[in-house]
Amino acid sequence: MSGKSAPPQPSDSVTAPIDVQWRQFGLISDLAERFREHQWPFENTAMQKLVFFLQTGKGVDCGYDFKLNTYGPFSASLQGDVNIAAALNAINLYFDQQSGGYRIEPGGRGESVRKRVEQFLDQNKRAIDEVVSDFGNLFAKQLELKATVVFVALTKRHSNVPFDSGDIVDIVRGFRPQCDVAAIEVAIRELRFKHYL
Amino acid sequence: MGLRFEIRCPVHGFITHDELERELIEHRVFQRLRRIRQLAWTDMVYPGAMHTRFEHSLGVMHTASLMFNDIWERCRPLLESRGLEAGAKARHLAIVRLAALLHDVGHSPFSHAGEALMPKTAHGKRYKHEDYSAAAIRYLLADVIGNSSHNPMGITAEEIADFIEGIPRKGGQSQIFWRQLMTSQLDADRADYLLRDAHHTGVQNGRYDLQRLLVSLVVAVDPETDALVLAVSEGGLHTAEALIIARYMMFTQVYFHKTRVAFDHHIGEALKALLVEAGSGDGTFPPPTSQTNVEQYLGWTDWRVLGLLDAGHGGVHGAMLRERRHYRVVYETDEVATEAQLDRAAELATKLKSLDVYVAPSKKGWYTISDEEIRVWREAQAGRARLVPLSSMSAVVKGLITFNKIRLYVPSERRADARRIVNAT
Repeated sequence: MSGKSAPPQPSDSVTAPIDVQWRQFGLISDLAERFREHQWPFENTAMQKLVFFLQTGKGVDCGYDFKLNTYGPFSASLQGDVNIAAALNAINLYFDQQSGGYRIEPGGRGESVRKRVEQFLDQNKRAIDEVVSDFGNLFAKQLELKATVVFVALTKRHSNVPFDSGDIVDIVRGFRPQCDVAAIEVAIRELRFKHYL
Repeated sequence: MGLRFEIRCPVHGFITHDELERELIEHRVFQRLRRIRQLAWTDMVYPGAMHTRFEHSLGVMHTASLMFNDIWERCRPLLESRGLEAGAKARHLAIVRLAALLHDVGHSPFSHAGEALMPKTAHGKRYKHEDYSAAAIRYLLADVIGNSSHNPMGITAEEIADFIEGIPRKGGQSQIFWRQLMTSQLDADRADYLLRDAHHTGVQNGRYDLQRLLVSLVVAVDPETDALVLAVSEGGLHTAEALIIARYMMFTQVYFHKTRVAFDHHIGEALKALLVEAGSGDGTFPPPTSQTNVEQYLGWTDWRVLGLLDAGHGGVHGAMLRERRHYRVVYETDEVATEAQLDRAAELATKLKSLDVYVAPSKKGWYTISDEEIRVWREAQAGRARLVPLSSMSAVVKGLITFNKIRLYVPSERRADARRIVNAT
């Protein structure tokens, strides 16, 4: 092979054009803002679960891939975006010695970040309102149970395997042997009633 | 007890394996990993980085096994009290080892560089190499596993594939707990690749004390959620810190090295051109949804790609790879880009479009600060133990949490023109 090849012409490359996650940062900031006057602090676990419900239950295009782990559905990408949103000062993320977890509060640049994706937040305002109303007052343990129930049901649905409530209870109990069967059944009923299942 | 075999490893010494594992190691699906380099074209920067997914996969199996046994010995009463009964230990361990061994069989040529060419699922998400690994196990290894005369516990391909994909199964507490050895911030995958990549690249900062980490791993119950979690004892705090620092060093010096990132772009583009030439209309791999597709996909290896590139295929990016004439950086943000820098990068990307700018976001948390992060099992002064996130105890780790660097590259011939635009903007 001799000589050098010509440089490429402008084209669509494998990697998309600059893709800053403003939508995601805006959503994270919006959720933090909604808990500003809330009766108890907004914790990192709640952020994960609320975005999970928004994506799976309300069809909001958040772009995250959730996996089931010890704390229920979790998205490492979302966690990365939470960390970046904190670095951009769209939120404040800090460790609370008393609760032993990370708390999220609105950051100084939150408004500026939300403004960038005003249209996206307006379009999804109702869905966000509903998710915050449905789950915003739950403890981490309750959120984890409900999110796990939805995750298990969706996995079954995607694999096209017929299943019923009993199967969901069995699988969730497999993860949480200490969890009361009645509590799982109540969670399934509530989630069905609110159309998350 | 059946026969045991050994393979010498440059990182761990001898790696032992049993007869079922040997059958899988000898299978063509696993042997293919000899032809998938662990770090793609990183040898263009670090010439020693020629190691493959084959040796890494063996190393992950070995490391996961060490972690499992140490945890079991140290925390057996708690594990048994939570239903992870001793009688099932051998089965749990066998599944962990097999999942660790096979977790990477679905890698595309040049490892992660080819992942952007994986097609999207019906739900709009792009397939990942784990999906191809699980599909290869279900379609191509199920017979070997199911019909092996060395599988007395009756482990199925489905169990291993579900373990890798995180698909919940009945009795899944053990699955989800032991899966932390595969996918967590303390997992055997990164425990192996950091040491292995450091060894082969010569970047010594990637090293940490694996032996100390092993004796620091403990199991704890999260008091708030009652979940069984993997943690490190307080005495292992500095070892956990060292692991995170090692990962930071490897990301900044190796994985996101500016030249290596440029080569990832070139191999991605060249692969796309090769796939189109091979009949894939949109330049993507076949989805992992049938045995035929998986066979076709696994037919793509580094060797095949290198052969095609050497024969002159792969378009302009193939030529750049042959000539080591990679794109050059003309603008980059700080490691943690500010809002202003992100805006400037976007503006420059638009202005440099006519010069075929390549925008490389290197967003990656080498450690995510969260409730899911490494937990330290700490004896409180009042005698009450509790789980504390590592970042809350370590200022070093807290300072390393985010990486959101964007780089703009242009062809080397256009660097001067691009610099003029950057300087004028």
